[in-house]
Amino acid sequence: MLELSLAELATAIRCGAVTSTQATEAALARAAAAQPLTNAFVAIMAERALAQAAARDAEQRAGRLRGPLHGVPLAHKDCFERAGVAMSVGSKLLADAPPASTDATVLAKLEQAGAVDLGRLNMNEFVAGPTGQNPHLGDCRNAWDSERVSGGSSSGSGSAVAAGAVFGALGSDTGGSIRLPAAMQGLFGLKPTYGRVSRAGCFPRAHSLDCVGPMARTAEDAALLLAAIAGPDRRDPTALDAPVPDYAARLASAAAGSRLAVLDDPGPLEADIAARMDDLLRAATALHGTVARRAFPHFAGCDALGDVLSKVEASTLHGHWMATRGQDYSTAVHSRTEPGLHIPAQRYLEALTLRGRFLQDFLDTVMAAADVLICPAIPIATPTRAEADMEGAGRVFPVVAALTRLTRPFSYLGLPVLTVPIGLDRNAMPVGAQLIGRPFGEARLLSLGARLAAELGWSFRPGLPARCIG
Amino acid sequence: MSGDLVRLVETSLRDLHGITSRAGASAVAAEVFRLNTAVRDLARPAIRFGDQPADFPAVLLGNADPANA
Repeated sequence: MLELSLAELATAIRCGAVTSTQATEAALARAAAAQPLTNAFVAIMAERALAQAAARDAEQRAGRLRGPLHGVPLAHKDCFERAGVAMSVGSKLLADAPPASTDATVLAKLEQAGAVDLGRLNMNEFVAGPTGQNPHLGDCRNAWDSERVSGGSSSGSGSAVAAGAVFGALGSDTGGSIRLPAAMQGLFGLKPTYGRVSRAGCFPRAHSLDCVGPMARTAEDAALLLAAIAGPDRRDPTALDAPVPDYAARLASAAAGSRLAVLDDPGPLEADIAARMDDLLRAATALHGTVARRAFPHFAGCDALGDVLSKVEASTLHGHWMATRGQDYSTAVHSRTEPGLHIPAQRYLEALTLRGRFLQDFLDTVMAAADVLICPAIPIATPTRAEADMEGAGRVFPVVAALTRLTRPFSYLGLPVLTVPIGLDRNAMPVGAQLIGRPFGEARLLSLGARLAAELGWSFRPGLPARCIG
Repeated sequence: MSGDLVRLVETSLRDLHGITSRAGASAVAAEVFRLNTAVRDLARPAIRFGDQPADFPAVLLGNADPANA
């Protein structure tokens, strides 16, 4: 049962072939079995999940199906508030925080759609870090190879889905925190358009950049999750009022006729990453014709602009705690937040002030004749945990730069980005590519991602270890 | 990057923020210098009097992919 996709399981539950309780029991058993290898969960909330599953089964027996996720076991990064449950955000500082009084909007929406919540997932401390390393809770490890990093900061979301403990998960993404663990674990990870999904009740890194989105094994699964959480929200004034289509229903059609381009110079790529990108471009050409090459002269500049927003906003949020409880932070998170205390206010306001125009310029030039831009997700093969250790002296800045330089520029531009698995690297670990869309282009990205993965023959079996069977 | 910037970071941490560095003033100063230079050199020649932060969500909504309609 755990090898079914989310969509397949939801159908099985609707048809009565499987109950939510059976699915939840299987998921809980896998979560417990995987925990020693992946450390994906901060807390497996078995009793609560089984009660939710029993309630879903009772509702179904009474003829009531809540929605497309009815009875499906999920779990989520521990940065979302759950009423009556404490949220530690991967930190020592909030380890004894009181329970939240309300659910984050996205969790409330998932519950309305019928999902079951298995628990709180591991993450980098305070949603900051590309590797899954966490000295307070123990590192989250990659479900494909526990010696390699899971990717972060939505590390547990990636590992729990890849291990087959849940059928999908939510993460948050400031500079790559959904895309990196998705790419490193063979998943579809969607950073939606800025404002597509409410952030109310989600612990921030940087309000100007943060996006909440799904991580799943298939594009269809991600589409079902996005449809459940997208839309405006009175609790989050940045959640924009744009139409929310039926993403899953448009999976077969939304990419039709799409014009594709590829980023001309993403900088140095390791040879096996470049080879997988060549494979992807051949598949894209077979499906959509010529893929144009497009230069983006301000690519590195947008990385710096996004980094300034992230660091200044994070240092503002954490300043009091850094002054009063500085030793309770990991070295990595404290260190990478410090520069935000010293960046001139003019640089921060320049980054905010020019954002709209730089976005318009990007759309008018790089995307002028393209609906989707293709770019690698990570320029290097998934490193080992030792190679990507950020707690050593002088380590955090180069590790973060090496892993996020291809993801952060698109966070600054606020565009939707879907990571798609495109093959394996020299260590038999997944390689991901980014599909960057126009604002609110998620339907097209999900449709294209599904087509490209199929064309490449990508097929993935969750488990311990997770494996590609395509 | 000059030693003056390292000393400025040290002073700023102590006198303006009351925070003890974990990264070390030299590493922080280097990162501040890198980001400041990159953004300053890109933004200063580009900025116009009509630009404002509120442009950003308007550009997002105004350029929505027709596939979303």
